[in-house]
Amino acid sequence: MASSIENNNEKLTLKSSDGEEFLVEKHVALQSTLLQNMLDSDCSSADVIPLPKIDARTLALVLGYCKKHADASSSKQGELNSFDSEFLKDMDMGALFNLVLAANFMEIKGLLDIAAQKIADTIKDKPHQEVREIFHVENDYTPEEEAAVREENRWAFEGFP
Amino acid sequence: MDKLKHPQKNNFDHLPDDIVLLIFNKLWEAKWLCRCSMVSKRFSSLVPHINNVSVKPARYISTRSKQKEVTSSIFEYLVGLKDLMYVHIEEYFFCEVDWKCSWKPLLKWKFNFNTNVRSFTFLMVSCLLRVELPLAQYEEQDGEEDEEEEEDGEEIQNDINIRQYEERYRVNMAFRCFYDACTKLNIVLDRIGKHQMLRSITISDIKNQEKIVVSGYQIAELRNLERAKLSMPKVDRGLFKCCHVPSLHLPKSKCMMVRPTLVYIRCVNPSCDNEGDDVIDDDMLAGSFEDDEGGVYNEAVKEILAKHKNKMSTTRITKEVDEVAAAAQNQ
Repeated sequence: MASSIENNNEKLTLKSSDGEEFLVEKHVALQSTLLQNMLDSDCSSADVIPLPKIDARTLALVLGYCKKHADASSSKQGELNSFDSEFLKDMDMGALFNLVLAANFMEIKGLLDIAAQKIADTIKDKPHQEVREIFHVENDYTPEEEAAVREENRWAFEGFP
Repeated sequence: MDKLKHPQKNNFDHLPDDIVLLIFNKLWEAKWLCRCSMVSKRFSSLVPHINNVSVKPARYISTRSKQKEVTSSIFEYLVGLKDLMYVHIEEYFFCEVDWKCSWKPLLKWKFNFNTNVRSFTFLMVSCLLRVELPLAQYEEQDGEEDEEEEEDGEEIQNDINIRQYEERYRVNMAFRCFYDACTKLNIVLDRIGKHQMLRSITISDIKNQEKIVVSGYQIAELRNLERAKLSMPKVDRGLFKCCHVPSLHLPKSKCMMVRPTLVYIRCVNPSCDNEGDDVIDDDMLAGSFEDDEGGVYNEAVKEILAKHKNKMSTTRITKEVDEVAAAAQNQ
């Protein structure tokens, strides 16, 4: 009896870029297409899977997301939606971008979508100067070039609030 | 000196282009994409490759000529977005001043596109009452109402006149919406119809009550057509069906619709001999609002088909009807 439970809850170990190890249940790991493919191609689950591009803080967040989504049944879509919006709330931009990269690397579509949406929502409703400040984007336009681009897109600044 | 440069890392530096595009594709609105181009040269080089765009109507523009200028700029902008797949254009289909009454009636219409049958469904309602009581009680009340009406002859005549005027007005309005929508679709197709990646074009009003959706193979078909052939008013054969119902109980939606008018216009492809039949029309009608939210309109169309089919009139589109519609359009 005990062994069958163990089989169902097979675990694997993930290692972050800064060397921290995370023990993850298999069904949680399956949220990631990357890990799923690794498991399918018979990588032994006893091995430690290194994720050299993802630091421990980000990986912990990613796994939190995967666990919630793996455990929730499909009937709880509303609950998942509110978890998703709560999950990214108040997250600083650095963490959010790390999350996007991690979700992209680990191929977790749902997480990539909500994180990208969050960034898109941050860009919306703001003047471009403010967008530069928030994301630390350097203005590489010369004043002349900037004026030219503005002229090109003049309509977007005129008829719209 | 270092402080003048950005001391913190550019968040976007680590993101590959496809992820930045994924983010841009979630912006949707054309004006945000435009403003995005102002941020940096990299942004500006990526924006032209986006797949999704929506255009909302320009507001806060005082003059009509200015409005036209902005609209043409927007389309000019869309022409440059060669990788567009999903386009959603939101428009005011009627300016506020177009309404003869001070309140906006409940209205929903939808364009059904197909290769040889193009149809248009229009449903307009005087008002929608939410009801909690069992249906039977309302039917009883309805009966009483009818008896009352029979008592006062003069009032009935007045009432009939008003109703007839209203019914005519609604049919005209349906035609006007129909032409309006055709014109807008033509404009959009003319400008961006050649974009090879295009998968879906949606044209709707800002509340999404009124909608044209053209997608998938329909776009491929349309691409092969000459633009002139598309213009609906030139279609010489077609029919329209019309049904006015005093009131309609909608048990599923727990609503009562007061004086709904259903108009259905179908164009018959001149090159195709088969004019289709009633059954196909009923199927088309019944499915008109199926994929939309707000099942009230969907249920209403089905109820009308089920219970008031006898009130439905079918007219071949002849020149006169066309002229009536044209007059309505030019009002």
